[in-house]
Amino acid sequence: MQNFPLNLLTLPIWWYTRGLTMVWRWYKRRTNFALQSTGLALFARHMWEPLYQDYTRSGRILSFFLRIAVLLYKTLVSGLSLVYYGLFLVVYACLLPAVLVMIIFQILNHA
Amino acid sequence: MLELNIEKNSGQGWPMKAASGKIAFVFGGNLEADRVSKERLKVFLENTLLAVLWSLLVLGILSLAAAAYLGFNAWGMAYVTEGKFLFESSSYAFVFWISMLTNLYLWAKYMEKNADGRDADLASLEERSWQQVKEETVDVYELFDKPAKKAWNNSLKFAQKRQRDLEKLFNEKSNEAPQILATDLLLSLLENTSVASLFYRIGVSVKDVAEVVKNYSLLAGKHRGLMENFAQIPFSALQEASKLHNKAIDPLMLLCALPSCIDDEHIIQAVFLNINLSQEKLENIASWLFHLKLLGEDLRLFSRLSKFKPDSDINTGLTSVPTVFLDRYGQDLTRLAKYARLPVALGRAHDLKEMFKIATAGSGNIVVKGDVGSGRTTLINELAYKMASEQVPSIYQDKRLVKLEISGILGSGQKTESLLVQTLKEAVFSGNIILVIEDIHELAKAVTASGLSLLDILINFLQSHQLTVIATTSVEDYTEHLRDAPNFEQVFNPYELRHLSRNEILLACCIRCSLLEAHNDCLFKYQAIEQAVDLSDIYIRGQNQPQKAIAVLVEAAARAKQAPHKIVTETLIQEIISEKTHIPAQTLKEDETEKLLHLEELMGRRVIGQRAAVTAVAEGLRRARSGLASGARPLASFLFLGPTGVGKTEIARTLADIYFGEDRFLLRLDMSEYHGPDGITKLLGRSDMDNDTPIVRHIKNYPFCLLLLDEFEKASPEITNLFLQILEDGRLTSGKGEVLDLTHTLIIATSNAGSTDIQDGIRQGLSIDRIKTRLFNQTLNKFFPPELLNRFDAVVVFSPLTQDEIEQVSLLQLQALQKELLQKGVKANFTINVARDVAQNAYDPALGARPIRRYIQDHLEAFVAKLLLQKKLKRGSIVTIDLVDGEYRLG
Repeated sequence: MQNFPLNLLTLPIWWYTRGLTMVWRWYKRRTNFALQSTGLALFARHMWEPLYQDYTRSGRILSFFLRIAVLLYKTLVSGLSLVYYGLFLVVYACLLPAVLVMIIFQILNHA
Repeated sequence: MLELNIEKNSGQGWPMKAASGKIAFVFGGNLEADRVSKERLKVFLENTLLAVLWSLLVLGILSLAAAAYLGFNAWGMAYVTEGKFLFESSSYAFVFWISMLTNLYLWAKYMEKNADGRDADLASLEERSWQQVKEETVDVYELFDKPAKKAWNNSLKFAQKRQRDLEKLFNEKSNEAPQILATDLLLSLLENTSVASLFYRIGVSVKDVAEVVKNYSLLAGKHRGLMENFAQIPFSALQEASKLHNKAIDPLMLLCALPSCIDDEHIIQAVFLNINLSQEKLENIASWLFHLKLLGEDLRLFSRLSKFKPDSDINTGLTSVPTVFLDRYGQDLTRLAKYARLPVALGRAHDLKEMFKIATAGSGNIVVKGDVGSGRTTLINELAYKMASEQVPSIYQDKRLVKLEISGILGSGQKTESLLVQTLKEAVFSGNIILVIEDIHELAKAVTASGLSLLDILINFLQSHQLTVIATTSVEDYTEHLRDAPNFEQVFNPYELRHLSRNEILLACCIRCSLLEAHNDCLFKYQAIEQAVDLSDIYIRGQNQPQKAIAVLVEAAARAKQAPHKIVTETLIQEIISEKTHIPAQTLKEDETEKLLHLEELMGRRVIGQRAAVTAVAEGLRRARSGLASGARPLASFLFLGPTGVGKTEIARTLADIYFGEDRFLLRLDMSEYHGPDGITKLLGRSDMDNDTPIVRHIKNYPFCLLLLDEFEKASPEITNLFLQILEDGRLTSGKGEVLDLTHTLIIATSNAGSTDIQDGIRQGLSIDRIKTRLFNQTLNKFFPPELLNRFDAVVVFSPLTQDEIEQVSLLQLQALQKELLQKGVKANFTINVARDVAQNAYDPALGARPIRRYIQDHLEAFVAKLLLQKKLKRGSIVTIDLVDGEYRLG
């Protein structure tokens, strides 16, 4: 986006190069933020530690299953966030061609 | 900082270019009218296009609404809800889709504007210049942000205006392009808001500066060609920006680069000198404004990230347990930081990084050495903030930073040993605690019943358990209590806090002032902050920076809040420091100026004769208070030599009374009391003494004072040697190791050494100067080492009093008796006969004028006392006392 007035013409190139890079970076930031909010990585780090320092046999067994359950839940939530923000990425990628197609469609129909 | 090699450009383009490693810097922002006009046109057209596109966006929304409405009318709600109206062939839909395309363009522009970095990211340039293998060319103009580009290009406008004014003045037209001067750039920068705020901080009006600059530059006349030093400005601005790790070159960086552009007429330097704006000050204020912006960004990031930190005892990993004892005897700093209940901490980022390196390298236990007020608590608070937002290495993540309250444990009334162990065990068991122990040396002093100190117990515990402890202590206490404690250095890694430079202390104070301004609704002038740092450094002893400067600023903010104008000025800072230290404020007040200028006259009313001594003292004090005296020595120091009773001590008392105004500023020491081998201990004290000695106590309480050392020759040789250091460096180390500042102390030493030689010299009719020379050559060496005599500002020889002078002294003493009688309501006059009688009978060449007081007491006061008791003198009496036939008579 350096040269006026060619910006409008270079928009498609920009859209899939620099624009896509920026949107990808945004996607990574949002998903990192989402992962941080669930604490998935931190939780996974302690996967093999018993909950609340309960090192008894029963405590370890219970911790294992509970941790699996919580991990699954956190993974699901994180996964949904990845998908949710991923949709924006897909929409971004499809938006420009969709708009161009609709404009062409309108022109052809009017013609 | 980016190291640039700037050189002349022999090719096309800007006259200068630079290089750093493999990166070549060029400048594409030349100030030719063509380029500037093209850029202005480009900006104008871009803005116009944006306006058109925004209009299209609005039109598109309206078209969408219209298409939906028509569809609804024709086909019902389902047609609209299924979105079919978007895909039908209609003018409205067509307009909508065209506007969608323009919307995408606007969105792209918005994304570009908010992009994280530039193609040539300034912040990474320094690193890339070291590591770069491939050659790269960077256009410095593209590193300017928009306001900087605008200010840069607008300098052409000011140059053109100046040229037109000159043409009018000289009545000649020129077809040549105007030369761009640094003053044109300065005028352009003065229109920028951040530059205006900088000048506002130093209390200078931007309009006034602009006026002066315009007039100066007109007077400078005509110039030809682009001046070399002006061409250097963009590169200097780049260096200024890299110093601060700024992301772009903004108008403040251009302003900081200006003073380095030395134009022929030195206009910029003259203007900045006139408003007392040095390069250092300019950079400091620019740094302040930059860091304030950074602080805002950091706080926004912090508030986003700290939301995820659990605020209970349980961590994200669900491995920890509640900590009952720790909660009772500890303070959760991460929780406080999460809710911003800790003071905002800034200035110890470098130390924090070093701590992380130590922690990640090996044993995580660290003892931070630093004096009180130097930033230990700031460092801990900064760590708490970082842990609350998890911006820390993994060993500190998902953990709580808990400060152990030692005083709570010691004062709990329970067995401190078991309490400490229980608390530590809880921390270990919880697994998510980083323990902070402030002033860990206090544990070394707490000895349990078993004979071990709490510190020994802690060390033993840490050797066998996995717990991270961060401790703080002072350098002195570390040496005294910790360094030699068994196994301490095996368990704790020492880290000494970096001493902050003056500019770093200033920056920390400036940021703190920004927070104080918000809290107290006041404004700090930059000079006031500078004064607080500099004056507290000089005058407030026993505390460290930046704590003492911040204490002064906090008090100043509280006072300014109550004041009508709400501005903290240098005067307010001086007043606060003067109140704290009893030292007169730096700026001389009017009455003090008058006193200093007429000191000889004022002292002459009480001191008879001895003009040389009075002049020497007055001149020494005037030199010191005018700021000409060296700051590293005492205010002034004098050695008075002469027979006893000639006025040596009286001069000192008179000076104390007239200049200092109160007795409490004078300390008189009879040096004959410090004669023996224990003299130095008596003078300075010992480390095991509870109380300070008189001199130590006095200097601590009244750094600005008069120290009178009578009979100086009788002090022990160790004390004489001690004064070599005092008179040279203006400091004194007490027996307890405290360093006292005597740079605001006036020292007067009196001595009878050489009295006989002085009297012989007077009898022989020698001048005072010759007597003095003889003393130096023959006599004084027996009493004082020559290097000590040379350190005094003046050595004054007092001559014996003449008969006239003795009579005057008698009259003065009689006046004192008159004052005492006046207090009883009796107005008594003494005739000249009485004065002469006193002078003749009381004066003793061996004792000088000293017996006069005793004579008056024994004879006159006894006479008056009898009269008072006989009721011959009562309230309201006006009498004359005369001497007739050797007896006192009432007239």
